[in-house]
Amino acid sequence: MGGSINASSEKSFTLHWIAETGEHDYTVKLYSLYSSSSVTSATNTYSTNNLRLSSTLDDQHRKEEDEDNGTIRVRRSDQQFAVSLEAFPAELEGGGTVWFTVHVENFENTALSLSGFVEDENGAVIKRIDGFEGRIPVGGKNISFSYTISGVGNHTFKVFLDNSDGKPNGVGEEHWAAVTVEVGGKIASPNLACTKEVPPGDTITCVASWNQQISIDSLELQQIWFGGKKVWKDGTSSVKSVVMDSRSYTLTPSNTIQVRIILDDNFANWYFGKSPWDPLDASYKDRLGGYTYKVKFIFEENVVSEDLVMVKDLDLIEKTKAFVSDFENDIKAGEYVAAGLLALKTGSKVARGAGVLFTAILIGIDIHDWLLAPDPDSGFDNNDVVGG
Amino acid sequence: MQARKIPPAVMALVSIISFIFLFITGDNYSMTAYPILHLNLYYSGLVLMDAWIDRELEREKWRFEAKLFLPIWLAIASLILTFGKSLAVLWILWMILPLVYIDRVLRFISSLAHDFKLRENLKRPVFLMITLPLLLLFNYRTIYGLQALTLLTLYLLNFVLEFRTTETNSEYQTLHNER
Repeated sequence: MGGSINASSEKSFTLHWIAETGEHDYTVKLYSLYSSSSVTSATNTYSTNNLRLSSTLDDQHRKEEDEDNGTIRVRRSDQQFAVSLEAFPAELEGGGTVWFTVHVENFENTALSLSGFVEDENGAVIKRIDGFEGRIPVGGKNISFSYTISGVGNHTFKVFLDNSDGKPNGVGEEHWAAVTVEVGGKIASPNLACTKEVPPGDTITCVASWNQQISIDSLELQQIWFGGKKVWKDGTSSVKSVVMDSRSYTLTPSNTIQVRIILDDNFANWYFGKSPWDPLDASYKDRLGGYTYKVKFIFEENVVSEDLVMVKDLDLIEKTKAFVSDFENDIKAGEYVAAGLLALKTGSKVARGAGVLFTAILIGIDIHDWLLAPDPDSGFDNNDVVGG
Repeated sequence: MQARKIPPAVMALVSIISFIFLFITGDNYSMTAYPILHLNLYYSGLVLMDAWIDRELEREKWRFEAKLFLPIWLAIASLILTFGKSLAVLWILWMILPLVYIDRVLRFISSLAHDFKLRENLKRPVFLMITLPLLLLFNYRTIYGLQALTLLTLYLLNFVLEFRTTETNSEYQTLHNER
């Protein structure tokens, strides 16, 4: 638009734009125009995300005097909250730690209880938002966490929040926001695909395959990490539950590398570095459930590929089934009965004393195993990925 | 037959400290010295319940045999765990069967005690009781075995104090004659 302004004075110009809900960036530019009569006038160029209204005037006849930019957030009148996602740094070389901030604005006069998640480009949840963290006071709140990213290319992260069930299903008020982090590097990362979801005790299969964008002929696999622990290095597994299926661990355009990670007792004992005190309980493998783990393949030249694996938590029905079918648990129930009977038996005082001692020991074992069982170390990064 | 013994409060205090220490450190050696972990757990319980067991066995005919049986029974249970958790069924059987057939067990110990004159020379039963824990300690060369040995030493002190002073006791003689 155009207009004129007298020397040493102020004047307001109004720019019209039909608002759409969401966050918009704008830039306002002020030009002075030269014409034969040397009258000065101003032109504003105005842009939104995809909309750009620019002056059709010839550049030779104008000179940029000033510009300003900012952000406009447009919301519906009945909207309760708005969400946006920020990443710092948004560009990094070779990979590293990125700090994410979820900005939540609360437009209501009371605190809101929101729930949702942040997911990566494959739809794997890297951060859950609920409970205390999902409680947004009047005005708003920032939720911050950090996450390590490797793998050359663009990584898009999306945040989802709603005020009902935390699931993107159209129930309640739902909002998404996204941010892209660019990881630069000389050599592109090979593709890595692992089993997305497994119950505790199952096997995770990971296949690394060639990426057409890789600029060199072959890549030798050097290390494999699972949930922050090194499970394989230079041809040797740290624990026998990690099985290299491929004969060669050099990745070329024509072959793939397949590795199986079996989440069995042996693996759980190695991973946690401790074993339950109850002799009938072989490992804490069920404690691996309920977490997302990062699987990382490190090739030569510091080329890294990664994927996320969710180990499911047993639900109540599965837990009950496991209890019924589990022979060990049956024996365990039996041992309580036996110990209880012995403790009550009045026939022999020695048997009674020893029975009480035995029961006390069992209770001590169970107190330990129930209360002090290990959990995977997800670190102090406030994200929900173990080893990421 | 009141013998001078370690006060029950001291025994209870030591065992509670031992339990706490065990709960803090136990996981560190649950993979490397699992039987010693169990030995510590057993003896913490044994020392804690020593006074109660004492009262329970006040007029028990086989008091000596029962007190000799408890630490050896527990030590063998932890020894069984050296075979690994796959043989945990053996562990349960060992924990339960002697209690079911406790009379036969005590009679057996009684005859052994008689044959080897265990009552007459307290060094012998003490040696029997200390052998297995020492064996486990030397096998695993772990510092935590000392915890079990300390607890057992406390128990043994009480054992020695009691049966050394009752040797001349007439009650023992009558009990012995009954047998």
